[in-house]
Amino acid sequence: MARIVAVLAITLGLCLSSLPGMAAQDQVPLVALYRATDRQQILEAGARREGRLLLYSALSLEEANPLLEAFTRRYPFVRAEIYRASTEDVALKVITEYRGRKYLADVVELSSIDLGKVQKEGILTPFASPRSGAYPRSAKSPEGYWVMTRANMLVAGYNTRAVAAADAPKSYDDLLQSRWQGKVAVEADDQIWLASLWDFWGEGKAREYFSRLGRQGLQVRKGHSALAELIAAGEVPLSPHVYNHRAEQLKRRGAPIDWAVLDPVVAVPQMIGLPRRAANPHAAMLFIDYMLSSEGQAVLAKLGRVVAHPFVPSDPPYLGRGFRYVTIDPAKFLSQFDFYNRLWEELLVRGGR
Amino acid sequence: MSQAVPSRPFWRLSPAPGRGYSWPLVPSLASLAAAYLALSPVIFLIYGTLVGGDGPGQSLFASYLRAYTAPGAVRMLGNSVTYAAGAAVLSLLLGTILAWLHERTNTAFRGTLFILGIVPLILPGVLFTIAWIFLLSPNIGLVNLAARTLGVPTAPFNIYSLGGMIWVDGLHYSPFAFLMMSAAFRSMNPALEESAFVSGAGLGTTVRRITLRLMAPSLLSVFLLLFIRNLGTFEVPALIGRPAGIEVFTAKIWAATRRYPPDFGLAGVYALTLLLLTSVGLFVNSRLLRDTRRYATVTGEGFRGRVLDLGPWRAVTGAGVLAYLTIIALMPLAVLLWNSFLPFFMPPSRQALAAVTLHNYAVAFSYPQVARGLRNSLILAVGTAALTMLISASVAWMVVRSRTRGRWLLDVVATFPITLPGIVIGVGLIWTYLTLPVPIYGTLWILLIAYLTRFLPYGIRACGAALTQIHRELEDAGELSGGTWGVRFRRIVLPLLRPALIAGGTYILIVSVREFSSSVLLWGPRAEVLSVVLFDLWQSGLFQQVSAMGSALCAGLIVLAAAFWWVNRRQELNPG
Repeated sequence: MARIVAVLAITLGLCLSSLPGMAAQDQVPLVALYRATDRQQILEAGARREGRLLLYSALSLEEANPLLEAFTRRYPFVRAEIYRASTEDVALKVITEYRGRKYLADVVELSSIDLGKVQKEGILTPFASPRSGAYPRSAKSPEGYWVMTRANMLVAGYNTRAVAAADAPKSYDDLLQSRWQGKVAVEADDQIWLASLWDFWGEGKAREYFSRLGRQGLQVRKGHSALAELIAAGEVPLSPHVYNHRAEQLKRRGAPIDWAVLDPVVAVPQMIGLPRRAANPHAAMLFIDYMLSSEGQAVLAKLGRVVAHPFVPSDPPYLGRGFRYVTIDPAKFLSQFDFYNRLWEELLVRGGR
Repeated sequence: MSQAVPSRPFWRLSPAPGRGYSWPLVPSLASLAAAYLALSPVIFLIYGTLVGGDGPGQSLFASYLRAYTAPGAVRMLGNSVTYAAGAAVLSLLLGTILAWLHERTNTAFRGTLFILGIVPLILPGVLFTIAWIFLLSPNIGLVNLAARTLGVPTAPFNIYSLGGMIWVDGLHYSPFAFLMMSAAFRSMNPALEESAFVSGAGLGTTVRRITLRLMAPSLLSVFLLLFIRNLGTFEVPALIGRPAGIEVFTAKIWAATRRYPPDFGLAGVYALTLLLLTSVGLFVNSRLLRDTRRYATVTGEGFRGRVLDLGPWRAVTGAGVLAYLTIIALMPLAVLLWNSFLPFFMPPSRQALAAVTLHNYAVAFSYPQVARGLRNSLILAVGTAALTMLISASVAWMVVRSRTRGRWLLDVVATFPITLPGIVIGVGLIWTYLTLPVPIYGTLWILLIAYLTRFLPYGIRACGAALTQIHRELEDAGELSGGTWGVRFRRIVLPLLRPALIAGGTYILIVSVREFSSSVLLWGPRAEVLSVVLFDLWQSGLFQQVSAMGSALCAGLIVLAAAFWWVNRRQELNPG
């Protein structure tokens, strides 16, 4: 009996001792806001001790792996890993983990909406990166909770075999023409697209537009990247909201897909933030610096992404320039999510079935 | 195997020889472990539904109210039942016809049917579903394209429908029905059918009035097993149901954990309702099997299965078998393979052939996540199979052999997770290990626990059945010769159980590699598994890389299965 008790006690002790260090929690804000001249040395020395970094992001593996490799070439002493899933899933994973007091994420990089959810839960802590100085004020949280890293530009994508370039839609109103009946596909959960245009056009015009669009017999598919792939394959002829970088990538590979700007383009900013209980804060700050630096942004641009840095052009530059775009305030979108979601379901998704 | 048997001091704690088989320590611990695995997720699930409501002002039972007053709840229930029952009927229909052909007739391609027909069972559901999406998408599905070249004006099939979901899942599990029904045919004495023939009844009458009636309990039982399994499956609802807007229980549970804020209370309520449904199904099934004696046709007289000569129909049924094998194995594998060589999806054409590339394989296998997923899945599969069979043997011994009171309760508790769908175990375990101070959340350990919980009942059933066939006098002899429990277990019980352990272990190995519906909720950084990596690549729109990884995986699994089959056959041919 005594032996069993001893075994149990040791097991319990081991379990408790492997819980994340309690002393580490106050260290994160200190590291995050450190501004003295020896900042780089302090961060590198700390990151050397930590030796690893866990990024939570919705970047696809095709892009995240080369990015992490580039970061590791710069800082070979950090073993960088990614937890990747869709942006909603990643946000909820972090939120669930923090509610259960499991602190795994070192850096979180998500869409403005999903990072907004994470921030609302009190998970983020403000940080100061010297690299964010180059960014316009609109690309930074006033309190220092996040900085924009890239954007997903929602444009019209079409299959060039099904739709001639001359017939491609040139404005949102073109989508209402009767020849598009049954040929337009939407992504299953793009409430933010509707909300951004709703916000821009105002209630009256937007309600009329979306109810007419819903009567076009919309097809529904899941995932923006998948949607672009399906257009290239010829499964659906046209969608008003594919990512332009994704369409461009497929086009370069020779797929029969092209994209067109509908004014205004909806931009979904992607942002980077620091969780308040990050286990490896030094490595986390090095990574945030890297993502915001022109070097890191150039790597992202080379992978075909639309980057946020004002002096780093996207590749090709017209992915991020030459058109007007609108974004919605994440806080506003989140607080009215139920409203937009109902509109989305009633006007578009259900109208399409 | 032998190292895993406990070392000497532990079994010394068991009662002295001669005091009977009451409470030896090892099986007691194994029983405790089994009970813990079965009960902890459910207890925490119920706890979660009571406290999981979000924010202040929510009453204790708010989650229950919310779940049952939500719009669409009734439609979701209808979808779930239609889907589960429809797919079960399809599997059963295909499986029964094939089993009859295989067991009772001299149809052409009998041997091929048995070997190739069970290939889909080893394919992960995620892959099988993806392959069928490539085949039956309205505009680019290869089957629909073929129909168009034959002059059909509109696409005849649309996979994004309830019918599409039933088709894919019913097809994927038809080999399961085939195996179960083959066993049933094998243990049905054909003398009654022969008598009917002799009395002048035609084939149709015989099948209707004799065969089907004798098979009724088996048919119903396999139907219920399939129905329960289909209610809990998540691969098809995730990949086809979600884009098509067809919601079922598992999709609702998933969606509730994915909302903002995450609503584990709601997920728990749906999970418990699902649990109730599957429990009722299993209860009916066990009642059904209780009075099967009325249908017993194998008696002391002995019988020999008679093979029906199909005559000229042999070729027709042979063509049917080939068509089935093409649909279930050849077409899905071919479409994955085709896709894996393309830069983007293209129907077969000269232009597509010119674009063929190995790039997708290079990219997919350069991902550290893929290599790690492969390694993790293998570790988990081997670990789960070994641990499950070891615990199962001990628990089965406790249930079948020991004279402990309340061992029926142990049987009930330990096999109860058979009613737990994978996604329900997932939700339960998230709650358990976010609450308990055991730091395994997000690691391989929590996945191991999930797999053990899911598959232990199968192991216990396999070992229990085998153990009841072994007379206890062998163990008694061991005891009289002074063997302690440990020695008897290791030197008598385990060797006699070997065939059951190997068969059960192989089955668990395969289902562990395939596992998706628990893993998708429980995987974490550096703890990826194959099915989840495939799902994520699909969600990222990387269709060609999924196909490359899937093709390689299929090749690997088929080689593995063939190797097992070959080893098994050699052992059967020269035992010992």
